[in-house]
Amino acid sequence: MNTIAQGNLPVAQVDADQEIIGRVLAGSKDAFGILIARYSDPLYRHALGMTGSPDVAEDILQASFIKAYQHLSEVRGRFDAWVFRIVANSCKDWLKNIRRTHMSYDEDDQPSAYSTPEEEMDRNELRTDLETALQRLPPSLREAFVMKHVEGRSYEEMAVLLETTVGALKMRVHRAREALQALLEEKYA
Amino acid sequence: MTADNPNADPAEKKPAPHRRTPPATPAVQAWLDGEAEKEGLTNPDEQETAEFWTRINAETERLRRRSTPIHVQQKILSSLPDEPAGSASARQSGSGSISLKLSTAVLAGAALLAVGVLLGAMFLGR
Repeated sequence: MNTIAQGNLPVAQVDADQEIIGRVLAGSKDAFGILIARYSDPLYRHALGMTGSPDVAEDILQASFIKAYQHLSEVRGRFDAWVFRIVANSCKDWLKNIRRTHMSYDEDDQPSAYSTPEEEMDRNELRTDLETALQRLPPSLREAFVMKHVEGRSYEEMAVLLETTVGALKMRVHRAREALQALLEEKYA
Repeated sequence: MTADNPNADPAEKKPAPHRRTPPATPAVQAWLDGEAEKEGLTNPDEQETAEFWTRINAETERLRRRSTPIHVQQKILSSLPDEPAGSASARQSGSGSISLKLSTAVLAGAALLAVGVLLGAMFLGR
């Protein structure tokens, strides 16, 4: 049966995570690699969207998975939501402690879909400006915008992960859009 | 006519005033939230705002395709401690059980035997 659990994660996957956690706690360290492979991409995107730095995102991801491993017996409920909160809190802690003046996605190694150098230049400029504008948002608005637009999550899933209401998150995303539009429109409108 | 260039048309010298993109109305926000179709935005101001966000969305969707660098997963796995807290083996070693070396056990046994012999001798000697 393909039942959908709260937050759009299939029940089967939640059960599978619990089974893997049981194997890790029984002594199979390698089984933890399955959880890393399963969840590292969305967590990396979140850390990258929040910090703007690939190096910092990697460090946060590594520290978060090690922390999750060390406290694995404390998991109650969904592993993905639990480990997401570890990463999200690490990002917020980093933002509190570090003030960055310029950050970009310069280490992007994704192939370009643009055909001409002019289009590529325009895209790089937009990317940099978007990132700069994101860094100027308050962390709570940036978090909501990144989760909705960069990670492509539903409001319901965001509400589960951030332990808040759909209405509150919609408000944050709407305010983030207004702020970003004000920051970007002079150049791109 | 201007002082710099008497032949210039004053109308051409003035840059067009920048027109701010209209703020996102509830209808635009609903479209961005995936709750309405773009075709439903018939107001010209809303269409202008939608075009602005179409460009931004193209960039955020590209960022969504990013994945963890390959070496990172392996780096995390190799940096994990030997066993997580609460694991079966961790519980076994940390559950209050006492482990003794063989030599310590032999010495303890010998001491207990000596005490027993001594007590026995005292009891029988009375």
